[in-house]
Amino acid sequence: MSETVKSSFFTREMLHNAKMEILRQKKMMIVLTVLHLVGLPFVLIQMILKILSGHDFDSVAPYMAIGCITTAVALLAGISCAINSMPYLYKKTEVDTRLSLPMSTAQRFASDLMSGMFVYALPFLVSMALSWVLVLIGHLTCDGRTLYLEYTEPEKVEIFQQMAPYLFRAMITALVMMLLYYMMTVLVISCCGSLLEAIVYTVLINGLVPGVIAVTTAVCAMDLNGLEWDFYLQFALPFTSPLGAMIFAVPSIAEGPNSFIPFAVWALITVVIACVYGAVGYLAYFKRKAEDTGKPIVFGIFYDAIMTLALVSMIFLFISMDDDMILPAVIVTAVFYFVASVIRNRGFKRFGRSVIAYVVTAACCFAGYFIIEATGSFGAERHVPSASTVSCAYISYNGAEQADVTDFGGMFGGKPLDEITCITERDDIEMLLDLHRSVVEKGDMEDREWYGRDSHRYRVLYKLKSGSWMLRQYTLDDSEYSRLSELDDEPALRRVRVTEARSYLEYRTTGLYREDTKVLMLKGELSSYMFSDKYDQRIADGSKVVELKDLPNDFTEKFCQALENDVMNMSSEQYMRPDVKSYGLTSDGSSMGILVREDFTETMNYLFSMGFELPEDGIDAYSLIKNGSMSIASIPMMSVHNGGTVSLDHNCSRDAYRFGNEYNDPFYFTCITSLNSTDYFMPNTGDLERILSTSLRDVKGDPRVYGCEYVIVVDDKSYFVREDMTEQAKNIFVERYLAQEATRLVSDDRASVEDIRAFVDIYSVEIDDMFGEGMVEEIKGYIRTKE
Amino acid sequence: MIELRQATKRFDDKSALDCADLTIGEGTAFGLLGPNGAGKSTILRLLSGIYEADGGAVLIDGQPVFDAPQVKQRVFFINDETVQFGSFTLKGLKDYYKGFYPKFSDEVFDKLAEMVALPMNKRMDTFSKGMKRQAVVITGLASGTDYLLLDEAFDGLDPTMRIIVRRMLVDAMLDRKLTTVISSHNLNEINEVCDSVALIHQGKVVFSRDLDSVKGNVHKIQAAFASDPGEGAFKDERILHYSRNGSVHYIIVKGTEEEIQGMFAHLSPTLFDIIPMTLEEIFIYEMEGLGYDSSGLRQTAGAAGIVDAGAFDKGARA
Repeated sequence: MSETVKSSFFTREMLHNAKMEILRQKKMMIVLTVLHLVGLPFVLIQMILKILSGHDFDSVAPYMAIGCITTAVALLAGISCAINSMPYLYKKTEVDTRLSLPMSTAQRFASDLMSGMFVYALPFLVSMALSWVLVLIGHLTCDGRTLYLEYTEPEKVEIFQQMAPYLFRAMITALVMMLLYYMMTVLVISCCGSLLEAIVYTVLINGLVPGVIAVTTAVCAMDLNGLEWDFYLQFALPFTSPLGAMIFAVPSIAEGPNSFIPFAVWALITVVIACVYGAVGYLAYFKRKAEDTGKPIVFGIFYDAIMTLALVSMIFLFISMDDDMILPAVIVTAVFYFVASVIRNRGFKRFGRSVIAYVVTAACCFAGYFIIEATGSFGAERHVPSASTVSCAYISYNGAEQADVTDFGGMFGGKPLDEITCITERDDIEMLLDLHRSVVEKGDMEDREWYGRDSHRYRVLYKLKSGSWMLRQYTLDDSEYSRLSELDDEPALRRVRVTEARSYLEYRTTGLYREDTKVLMLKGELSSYMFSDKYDQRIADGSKVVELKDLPNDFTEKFCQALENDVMNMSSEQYMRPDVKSYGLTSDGSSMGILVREDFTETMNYLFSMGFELPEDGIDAYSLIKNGSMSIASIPMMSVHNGGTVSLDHNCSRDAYRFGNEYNDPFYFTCITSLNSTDYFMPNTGDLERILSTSLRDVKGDPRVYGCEYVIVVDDKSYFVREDMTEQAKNIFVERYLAQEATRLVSDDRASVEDIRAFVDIYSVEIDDMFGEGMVEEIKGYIRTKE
Repeated sequence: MIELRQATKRFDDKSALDCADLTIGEGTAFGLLGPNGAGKSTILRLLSGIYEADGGAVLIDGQPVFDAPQVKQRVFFINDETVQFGSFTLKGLKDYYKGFYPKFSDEVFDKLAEMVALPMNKRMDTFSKGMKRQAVVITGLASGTDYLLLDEAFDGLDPTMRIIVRRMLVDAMLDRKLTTVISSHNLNEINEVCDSVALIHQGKVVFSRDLDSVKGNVHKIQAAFASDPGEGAFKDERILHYSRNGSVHYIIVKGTEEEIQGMFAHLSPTLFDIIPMTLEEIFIYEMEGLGYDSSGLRQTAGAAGIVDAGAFDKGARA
């Protein structure tokens, strides 16, 4: 009897097995290598060739399409690598040969797992290494270290420099996804005994896991007021499957880091989850027996789990579409379940058990749904966090808007959140929570749909001390909305200006996404900011053009620092002044959305030092108005509430608020701005007065707009008068318009009785203010006389 | 030494091996006999660590085999399939197994390959079934293991090759005390190579002993008696088979010649011939004794010339 010799895990036999496996799959490796090489490296070669021959990058597009397809095929081949490295799991003829070899189960698993992974990943790594070399070559070419300098436009080749971080992220992302995909496949094949089932269930589980999460989240949050279901979806989906990971990774690579799931965290968690898949796969592998090879499904629980996932996803999908879909859900899922059961059991064996299993699973799904419905997702709809649990809050409303917050609505999109724009003042947080509480307590949640009134939309994103996030979005009523004005001067909201500017600049100067040509052609222009496209270009043309290449590398940093100093050092009174002229940076003739007030001295001086100049004089808002097509050159720093801005509307209707059909003369009144207006600006005091004095065709403002009582109409366009200018507007209105208008109406034979009556009804207060009490009655008497 | 102690193996609800006890000594050439589905291959797979026993113990030199690389390194299993080696060349096959078995001998491999004249660099899927079988057998012999398990190892071999392979096995057994366990339906092979056999039936070990004692323990009797003793006289658990043709009685009975003579002495036989039996005949009648319907089998085997039951019956009729 010989002694048991203790040996290390990594034995010579195990390594030999791995080596043999890799050699056995060498054809697969060659195919994968070719597919990967036709991907990114080939595209990069084409790009370099295009640069050298002076062609545009657009002609690379077909190669990119081919590259995407071949790379996708190569990545999908992970299932083949996993299956081929463990053929004895589904091929009976391999069982005796492989399992009799002198390796333990763990050693065999590890050896086959690693060899399959090697076959899968090595071609990718080779192509990535080659890509880095090509990027380096492309970069060197532009640096003038090669003989091709004279043919090379430096800005074109900058793309290779800019490509590096994206390439790195893409490479890490792909590796992580490959690992997840491979491990998931290993888990599935460990639970299956036939090739067909291994493939089918790998595909199924890939779709079902994220599918169940998606529909469950949808069912939990879709019908709840104030909750956005896809916001919550993004926290689970990226980790569950390669498909979910791809949904996360693609925008993450293209648009930059995700605020809620940092890339490194995603990569780390996904690797851990892949390892969990691998560990569960090992458990299944360890538990399965040699004689299980050939059985479609080795573990009944695996089949049950897949079927449960399928049932849950189907039932919830139906329910999430409509409550009336319960019966169709039952019919479809029952047919599906029983057909699958007959296939699995090769007939009607254990059919009774299947019926019971179906009834229990479906009942649990429906019960779960009704509980979710009845409890408002276990109270989530009405849950307001306590102040002590909130670390800070981002808000978005039509006032001092935080672009960071507004952008995170879409799935996985959005700019990174900047912590400095998060409201940390405890009083402010208390106020926000109080506002939230009042919305919830009023109980009219269904009327609070966020997609209701544009002007009163409000979103709040709490960052909780636990590290989790909570997003709510409502449409506020007037009194609730007015409370938000308290926050206009909040330091965090001031900083939004700086973070927005930084993000725009970085996007223009480093982004490859969509704007690649603009990045290369970036020019900075300082101009009066115009909302009218027609005049935007004209003004831009009149400004000093600064080429991007002439700006220092730290331009963005220094500009933002100067901007921050200006914004943060202002007193509240200065900051809230509406009548300060602003300038905007434009790129290639279009606005970059970066506004600089003329009293931002540090910023303006920095721009001047960089070669920017103010646009030529003489482009005057007033003259533009007189020319017939209006715009206002000056933009105040604050664009607060909708009601406090002047809205430029391109879609105004002539049908609304008219006195009568025969009175289409714009002298009286033309139209009111619709609430869908997207362009907002605010006149300063001087502008307002000039507009009012020269174009006095105002009426009472649309009462739907908060705080707005007066509207200025210029060339068929209407402008809301901000609430704090109401008094001024009223004075001008009463003095210069209403008196004449009332007199004119009364004396105008064309004015119908109805028109006069409507006029009096609308302006009764103003008429009494102007002429003293009794004037309204007098006019009404006049009307009766006419009648 | 190989030991099965109350070894049990079930496939789903069916028991393939039921509390089997078996001991195979070192250096033995051991044959496993039994009808299809008896559990012979199951025993070999248990011994090679492919299957894990559901109960009992499967030991090689006192150590469990399953999941024990050190033990498995001393066992080489050749099953009845060769299709899995299709993508290998003979050289590739050698390189493959060389890495797993530290005592693998290139010299032995090359010598044996030369002996059977197999091409070293041709893919094995171009080989005939017999050539593949030869390739695997020489790999097993060259691996230098202490135990060689062969499941239907002689299938597909032509008579010349059977002799060569048999000689290889015998040489290895003599040279390095190789323990060989052979499962085969061809009892001639077992008869010629093995020195001990076990009969497996319905997952149980019916008997396990050396071949000579097996052969010496079952006899065929042709007898006639002065007065008809009646069928009741042949009801004995040692009698595996009884038939008569006229006054001649044909009996297959367990026991030594002396015991058998003693059994029938009180019937005063007028004719009493004890005829030696082949292993096939023993196998068939043992199986019949266990309730296995061998009437068809006897005819088939007789027609194939493997079992002389046909002649036996013909003789009985005469």
